[in-house]
Amino acid sequence: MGMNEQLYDGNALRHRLMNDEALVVLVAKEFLADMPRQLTSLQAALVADDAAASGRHAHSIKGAAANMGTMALSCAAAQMERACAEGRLAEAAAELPALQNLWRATRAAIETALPVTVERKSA
Amino acid sequence: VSILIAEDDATSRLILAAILTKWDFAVETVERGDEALARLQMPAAPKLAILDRKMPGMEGAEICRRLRAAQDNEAPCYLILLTSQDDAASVVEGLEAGANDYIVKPYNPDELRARVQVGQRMVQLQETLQQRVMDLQAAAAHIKVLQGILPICMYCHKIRDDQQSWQRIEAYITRHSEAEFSHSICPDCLAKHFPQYAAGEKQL
Repeated sequence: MGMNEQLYDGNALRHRLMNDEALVVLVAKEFLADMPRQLTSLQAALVADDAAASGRHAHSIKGAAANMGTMALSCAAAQMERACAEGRLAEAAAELPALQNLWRATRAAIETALPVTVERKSA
Repeated sequence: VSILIAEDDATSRLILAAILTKWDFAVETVERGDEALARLQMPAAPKLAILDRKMPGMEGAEICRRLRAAQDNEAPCYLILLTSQDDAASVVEGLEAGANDYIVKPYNPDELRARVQVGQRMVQLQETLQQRVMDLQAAAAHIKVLQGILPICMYCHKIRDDQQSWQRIEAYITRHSEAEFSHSICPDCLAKHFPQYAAGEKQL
């Protein structure tokens, strides 16, 4: 699997949605709109030193990203979830910028592959 | 069969709801575990639920545990837990808590469909079974009435029912059984009430 497929594997999502192209676009839009909120929640929980909430948000990001076929983002969130579960919160917090960068690359890959345009605030 | 989806992540919730709707299931969604438990404890709750393992409010396994602890005579809800690939240990905990099955995210749609269909069959079987049990209980209660001690008047043979009213024996039996009466006259009564006809007739 090449780097682009790891960022966004359109075939996996398409297969999961039974080749319904309109649904693929709908789900992608929801993902693009919701992920910044999840990353903000994760950041807030890490800043608040709340391991349980941080772990929960990392878990949600992992699941959403896996369902969307964005496995690189999912794997990074899984690592962060593990760090939170094991009490390595400082380590998890240090990984946040990398996760945010990965999110931006993932978003770009989805926007290149699909007709989705989402109004962007500073995410 | 309608399905409750409890999943806090919006994208995962949308995907699951969209797929199940495409398969013609009626779908309800909630975002929190405590909302899911409340919905599943209401009257006319969905009989099949797909619960994310980790949710704010209450985790999926805890929902299973509470529903199973509170189980009354109603047909039980079929519970499917959603877990992640690296979360195998939680599968055992979930099943022990009362989940019927689990699905690992990200799931293959064919597998999801197969597992949901198993749940649907289970729910339908349980509903049929529950109906049969109710029919049997009703029949058994019916038989008991006719098997118990019936207060009967020793002169006119009327029977006192549970409303304390006296009924003719044929009316009572007709009401409490499948039997019907066809009125006739026996030879003894013929001789007693109609002696003019009794001489030549043994029975009318």
